[in-house]
Amino acid sequence: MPTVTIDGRTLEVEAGTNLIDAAQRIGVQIPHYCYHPRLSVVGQCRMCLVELEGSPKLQAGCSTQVTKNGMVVRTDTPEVREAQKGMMEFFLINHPLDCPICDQAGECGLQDYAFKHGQAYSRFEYEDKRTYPGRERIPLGPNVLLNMNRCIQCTRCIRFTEEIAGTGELGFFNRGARTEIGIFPGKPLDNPLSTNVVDICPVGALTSTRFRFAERVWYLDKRPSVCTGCDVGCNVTLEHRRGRIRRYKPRFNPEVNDYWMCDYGRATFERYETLPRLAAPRLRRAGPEGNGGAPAPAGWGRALDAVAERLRAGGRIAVLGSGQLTTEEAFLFAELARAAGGAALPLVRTEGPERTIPNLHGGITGRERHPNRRGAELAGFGGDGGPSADDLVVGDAAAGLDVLVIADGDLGPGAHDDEAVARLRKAAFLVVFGWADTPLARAADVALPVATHAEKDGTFVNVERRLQRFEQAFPPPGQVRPAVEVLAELLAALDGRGWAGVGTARAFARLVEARPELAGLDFDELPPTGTPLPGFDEDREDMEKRAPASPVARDAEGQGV
Amino acid sequence: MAYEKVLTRNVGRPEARTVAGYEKAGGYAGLAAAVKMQPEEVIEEVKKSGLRGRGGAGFPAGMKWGFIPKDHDGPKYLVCNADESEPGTFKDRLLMEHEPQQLIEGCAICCYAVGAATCYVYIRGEYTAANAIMEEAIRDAYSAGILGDSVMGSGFKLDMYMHVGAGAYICGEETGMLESLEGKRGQPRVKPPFPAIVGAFGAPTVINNVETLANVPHIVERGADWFKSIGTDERNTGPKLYAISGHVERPGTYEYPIGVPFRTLLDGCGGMWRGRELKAFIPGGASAAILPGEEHLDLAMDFDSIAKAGSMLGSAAVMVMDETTCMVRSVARLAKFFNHESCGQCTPCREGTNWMELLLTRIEKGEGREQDASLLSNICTHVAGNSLCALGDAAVGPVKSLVETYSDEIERHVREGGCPFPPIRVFGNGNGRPADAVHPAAGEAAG
Amino acid sequence: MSEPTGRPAAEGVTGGNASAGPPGGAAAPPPAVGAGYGEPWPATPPSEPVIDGDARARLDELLRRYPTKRAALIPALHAAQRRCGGWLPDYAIEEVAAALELPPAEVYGVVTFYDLFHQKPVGRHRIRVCTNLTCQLRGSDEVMEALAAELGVDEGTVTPDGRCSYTHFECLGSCDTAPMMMVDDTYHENLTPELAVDVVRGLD
Repeated sequence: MPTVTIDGRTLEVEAGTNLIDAAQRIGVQIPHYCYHPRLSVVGQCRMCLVELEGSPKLQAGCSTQVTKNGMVVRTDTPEVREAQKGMMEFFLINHPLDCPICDQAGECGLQDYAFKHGQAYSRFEYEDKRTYPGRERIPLGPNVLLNMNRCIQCTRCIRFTEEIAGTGELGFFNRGARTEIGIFPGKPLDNPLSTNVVDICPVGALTSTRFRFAERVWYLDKRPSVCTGCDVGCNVTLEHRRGRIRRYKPRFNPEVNDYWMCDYGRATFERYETLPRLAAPRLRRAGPEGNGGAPAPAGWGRALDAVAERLRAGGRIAVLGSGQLTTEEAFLFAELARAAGGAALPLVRTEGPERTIPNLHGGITGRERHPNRRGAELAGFGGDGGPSADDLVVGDAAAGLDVLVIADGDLGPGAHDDEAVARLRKAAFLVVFGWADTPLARAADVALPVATHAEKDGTFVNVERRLQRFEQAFPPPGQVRPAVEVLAELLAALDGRGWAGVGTARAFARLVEARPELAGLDFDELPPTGTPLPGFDEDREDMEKRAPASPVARDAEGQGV
Repeated sequence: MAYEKVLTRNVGRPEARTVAGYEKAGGYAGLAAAVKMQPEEVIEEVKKSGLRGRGGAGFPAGMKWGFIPKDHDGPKYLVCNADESEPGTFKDRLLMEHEPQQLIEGCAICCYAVGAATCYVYIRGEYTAANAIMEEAIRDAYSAGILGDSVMGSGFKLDMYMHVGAGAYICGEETGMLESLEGKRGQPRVKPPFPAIVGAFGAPTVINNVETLANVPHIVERGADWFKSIGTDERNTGPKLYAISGHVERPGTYEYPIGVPFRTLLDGCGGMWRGRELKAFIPGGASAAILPGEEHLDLAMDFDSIAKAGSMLGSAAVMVMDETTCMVRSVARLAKFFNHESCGQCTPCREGTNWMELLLTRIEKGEGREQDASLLSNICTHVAGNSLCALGDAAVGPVKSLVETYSDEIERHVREGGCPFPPIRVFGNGNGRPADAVHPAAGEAAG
Repeated sequence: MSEPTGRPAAEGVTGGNASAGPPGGAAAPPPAVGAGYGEPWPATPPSEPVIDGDARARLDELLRRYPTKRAALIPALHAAQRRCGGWLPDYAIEEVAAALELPPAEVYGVVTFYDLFHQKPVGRHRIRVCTNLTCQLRGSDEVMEALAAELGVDEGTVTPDGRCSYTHFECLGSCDTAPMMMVDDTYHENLTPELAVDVVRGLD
């Protein structure tokens, strides 16, 4: 491997590595706009010019590769800094002073480099800025808006649609100072990966219709998380403020989603704002006939007592869950079923349109609309000896149950369907764990409010059997509690065995004890790129096998969500 | 000894456009000789001749041919650069319209030497007449066995096609041309890799100007030594076409040994137009520095002499300006040209050429400020050397020379709040004399 | 294709070191005007395709010259523009894109890059007046003024009768016959304002 010396430090890199990547390895940031590690190199923005010993001119770092020993590069000479100043001035002379109204402010490439590499004044005083009249807020497609005045012609977006999405909706039109990006009339930017161009646009030329004017980015707190939209499990940065998620952005994981995520996934958190929140436990007290009284708010103590009592009474007990459960939740539900002598049933399965997220390993394709079916099965769901979800929702199997615990109250659109609710209600005693106050929750004998995805820790196992951990962004509001905590309390009541106070990490540890394929894993030490589990990649064949979606997971038109 | 013309000996003889007519005039002796030589020998001869590219860059042609990999598994190409869009240049058009077979011969020899089986002549879209003549000449060459399955019976296969451009100066840049040939926007590529390794359709490619290739048959036929005997020295050899225009009596294309003194060139085209005074001339296209006339009357018009004088021979597009010419207005017009032709990829050229045009227009209109000259100069330093291709550097050429040599004219525009030169009125009042100055300045009255 | 250059061959460069154009100032008679583009096709798609049987055959021949389909794009666009009366409506661009299996946005990018492709009708005849440096020095501004006065429209605008439009253009490679202009496929050289107007008056 050839060596290269950058700013006096010598390092070895693979032949063909460009100078921007090489410098990054030693913490030297060569500024750049048009370069992106996953897109073709065009060498257009000229921001990455550096000094290469032996060359009379400055060389672009993105298009200069280390091919032989002895290259000597300097990234911070007076000449380099002068060129950077010059480039920044050129970028800004025709750029509108939109910062006060521009979404990109606070995460803007021009702002950042103007501050670091630019000069504090403009000499473009007596000329008129170039504008693109009528192109200040053009919808390129349903998800992306263009303000052409702000564009710096880096062509990342065009190259993305050509090379990564493969759809080629964006083009570079006109020539010279009049160049602009755009779509062919009548052929909008409309592919599942379209919003990624907003992420890679260094400036506010491309904005997301969903996030436009929504929040100033410096108010956002950020947490590493995993998308719950499907079983690919794209890594995301969950950006929130005051207990509300404001945006998902893809988080770099070269093993899973690389730099990308799909438009559908970006919208998943909006669901939390569309349904009313189940704020407190509710208990249906025995009416004059014994059952069927009105549900009323209750404290956790009484609510859990009621549940524990019925579980201890025994009989036919079933727990119905879905792939939306975290691995730890699923494990504790399965343990609860076992402790009560019942069954953790086969999960409600979903199916939706295939989504392929490109990465350097040929991409990952997800089809299931829940993120953790495999993890929940690994944790104990799906045994024999119980009715299926179909039997319960479409058939009358619930009537044969003494206790039916719905582990995920938001099983699917079918959970809101009056007929489905009526069938599930046939169980003698219905317990619903959920975050939303749905008809199903209202029909329950005990409704237990539990945390949403952002309000808890946990792990998911994705379509490739990769275990990924996500972090709690903010605590659940008011009386809402993480399901793991609630289950630990119930298990302590039923099973003693030191369940008291068990949280996510310790739940995971107990799962590890119980499953040889997880041997050696520690919740607090899980690597950021995820952990392939045994059977990793074999489940890719599963992607070919299509399990029918359960009725609760179908919407009114019978489509999987 | 009178100079015997080489490249333009058949101009004015339309029959020489056919293979038969051209051969009768002595043509295709070069190709006949070449196909009996080893390809490497042909390359050596061209190298020895010292032929430098006639398109503007002056790069040694033989050396360029030598870069093509010898054992390469796959096609190789010759692309003949007939885009000729450099302002002031019209010599290639003359060669194609009047000596098409000479160009075909030169292309064929080059293809034979480097092992290219396909030659595309990329001709600018506006040259419809030249294209028609070339198409006819190529058809004739196929019938006569010059092109096709066996060039002159040698067994070497060669196809030649005209490829018509669509109006973009930047397609005269080598990699811009390749992009355009491949059916894309003519946006120059990052180099390396160079076209000799990765050129048209990913294959090794030679790109040569029309005039460069027109010289090749003569080099092969008469030898490198003969070629070297014409010209100034061994770095400036061979015949040269000079396209002279502007304020001269008889603008046109003139063939001389390279290195002809400017004075001879000027006299040979009838001297200054309407007997006016020479002010300045641009020796080689829009990016060449402007040279004050008087000091450079004896300048040898070759690559090295002009470079030493601070300018460039380029495409030998000689643009002559008389004393009525406003330098600011002229450079503003060139700046407008470069701004229009910039492909827009890279920041310094896209924004810099735009800014320079705006600045110069403002100065010409009389709204210039004191600091504009140094601002222009500073913009030039930010563009030069930093752009993706040579157009950025080219655009800087005239602006830099304006600021360095004619800063007084900039100052006058600023001080007087307008252009001190009369507007150009050639036809204005019927007697060919320019109309009275709008801003008559002392000592600079019209006429 | 049109006839060769409007400059009579006998006045081309001759032996010795004589000029390529006629001696100073005296203008040769203007050449016959070449065929125009005909009536521009409408903006809404007509019932017949742009690439008809003839054009398809020519496209196939073109495709044989190049190793990729894409390389035939610019020649194909030239042909399509000719067929559509001197401009490229969006439907023509789409058809060419489909024929060469290219994304329409990419073809749009190519069309808009080049000065000879027009996305608006240019009239039955298109006039391009060179106004680069040496043509400017020899009076191209005055030719532009004369055209403006004669045609009564700004540059880039089609005359009300659909006859023509004119624009300034960059160097057309005829600086020795400045000032000059290109009408459709023909160069008109050694112009005076009056000569330019004569040419225009002769357009149908």
